[in-house]
Amino acid sequence: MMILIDKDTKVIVQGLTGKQGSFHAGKMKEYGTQVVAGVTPRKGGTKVDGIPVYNSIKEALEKHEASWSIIFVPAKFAKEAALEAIENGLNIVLITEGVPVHDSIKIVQEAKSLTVIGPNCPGMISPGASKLGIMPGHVFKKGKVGVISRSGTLTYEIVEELTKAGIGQSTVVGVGGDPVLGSSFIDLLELFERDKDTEKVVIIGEIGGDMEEKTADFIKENFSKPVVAYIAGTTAPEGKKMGHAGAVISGSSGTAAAKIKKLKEAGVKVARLPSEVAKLLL
Amino acid sequence: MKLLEHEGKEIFRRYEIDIPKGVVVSSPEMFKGLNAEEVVVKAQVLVGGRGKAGGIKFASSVVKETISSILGMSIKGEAVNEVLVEEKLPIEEELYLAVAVDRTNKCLILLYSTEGGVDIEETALNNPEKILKIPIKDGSSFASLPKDVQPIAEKLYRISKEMDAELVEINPLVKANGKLIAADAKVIIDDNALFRHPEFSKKKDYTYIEEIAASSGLQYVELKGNIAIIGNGAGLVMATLDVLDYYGGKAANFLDVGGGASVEKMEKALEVALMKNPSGIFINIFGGITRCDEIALGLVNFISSRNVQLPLVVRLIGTNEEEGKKILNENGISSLDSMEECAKKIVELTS
Repeated sequence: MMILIDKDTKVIVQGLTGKQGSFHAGKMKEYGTQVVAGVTPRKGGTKVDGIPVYNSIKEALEKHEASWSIIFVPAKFAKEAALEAIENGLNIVLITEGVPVHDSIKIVQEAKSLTVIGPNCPGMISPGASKLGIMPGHVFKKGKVGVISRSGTLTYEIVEELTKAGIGQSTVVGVGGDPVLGSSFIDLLELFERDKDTEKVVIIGEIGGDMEEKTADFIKENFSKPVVAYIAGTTAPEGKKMGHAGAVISGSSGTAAAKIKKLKEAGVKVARLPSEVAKLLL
Repeated sequence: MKLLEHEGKEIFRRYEIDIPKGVVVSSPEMFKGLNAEEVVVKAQVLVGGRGKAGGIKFASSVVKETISSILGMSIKGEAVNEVLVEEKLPIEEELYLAVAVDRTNKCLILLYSTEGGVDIEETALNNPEKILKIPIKDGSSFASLPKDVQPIAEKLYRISKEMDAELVEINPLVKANGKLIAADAKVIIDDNALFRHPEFSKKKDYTYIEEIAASSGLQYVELKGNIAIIGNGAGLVMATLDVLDYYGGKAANFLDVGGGASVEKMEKALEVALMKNPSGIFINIFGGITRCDEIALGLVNFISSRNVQLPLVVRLIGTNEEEGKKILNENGISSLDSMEECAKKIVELTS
């Protein structure tokens, strides 16, 4: 078991014919993901890497079964693409960066019980089974530690150390760097709590917002498995946006120090350096 | 993107929210009088805390002198180029009203408090029960707000949606002569939505270097140290700053080249990073979608064409790692696989 995706998951790629979509769909297929179809309006009937392209999700679902869509569509059109997938009953991974926050709010509201991962995320991977994302597959190793992160490359950094230390991962989910996210850390911890193959969880957070603080409260009351965290941005100055739209500190809350304090109070071990995460898991 | 107070008030005016009588001027001569006995002269800056810094002054007779003294002030490093001169309001009550983004509930949220005119974050800390919070979802209503506040709340909600605002705040919302008037305006437009708001084309809260970086698709923030940092991915770059600090180094900047950076983009990143004359350079790349050979080529091109002699540490792993390292080696540049080893080394080399 792993959460959300496994080797039987069938996926549609929206934006398959674009530069990002075609490159990553190819990599996903290589990894073993069941990429059944692609959707790009007006490019239906073509093929990319052997994957059939359709003009709409509806058309694609007439010929293929799928439960997820991964979206590689520019920010301007992301909401449209996401809503189309949701209307057709698909869960989505929204890779796109730069989605207006009001669009994200709309997407999340329309999704209701469907799962939305992202936006502005690297996607997710259940090592050895399925990859719905842009992460380099070779960095990951199958195992029993769940990983949830607001970042992309920092996730690879930390996961690589885990893999090198022989600590494999059950599922790794990049929740995204934006202020409004389809799935929060809490949403995923609920799934990890019920997953019998996940024994521990790593949380990779950063400055901005209060998701880590709320997660700390949740862990205290509702999460039984050991958690190790790393929070980036300890040295970030206040009032400045550091890359991610979600990573801005305003006033006194949202600092790395505040998050680290709350997580520790909830019994979470917090690493001082990315390389320390693996050590704290052993 | 933050808007100036008068820009926010202009939006309020369009949406029929009452604002004080006022005029924006950029020189004392431009001020031709306001039909009011006493006025308030307010610096138009994006930075907070202008009141405490002397950027808000009342005046009845020496208005032009007051305007003159505030124009040309520098408030926390920001020059005051414009002031808003408004009628002074006979304040009976000060309220707080805002529509913001509620990250936890993934929706918009209306905030209302009778504690207007003070820092809302302090109220949230000390008297949280004085803030009414209404998450705006299907079925929610503003009926729990005072009757005269409700229509203004509706308008703020519309402004938020139509302007793609992250925050639309009136603090204080003043009761004067029986009317509710927006005495201040804080509107922050979502940067991600600027593509559909051509009326907001100019970004004002960037420094010169940040502007150049942004136009090349780089995320750059000036910091106070002496070691230039370049990395791929905001979280990784923030972690690099933290790791550097752990080993005693101080970053001159945050610079994220983003995913899939090209040779040219890497060269641009180096150009930007060197604008503040750092003592050394630390490059930390973990290539997923980003290719190590492109990064290496950009680095090599730049170093040789500019004859850069600064201490340099490079960490280059991930996609096309072998090709990237080959390019570095052929040009006499070594790399370390560990980000911590790099941090230690650059601190050593620049101390």
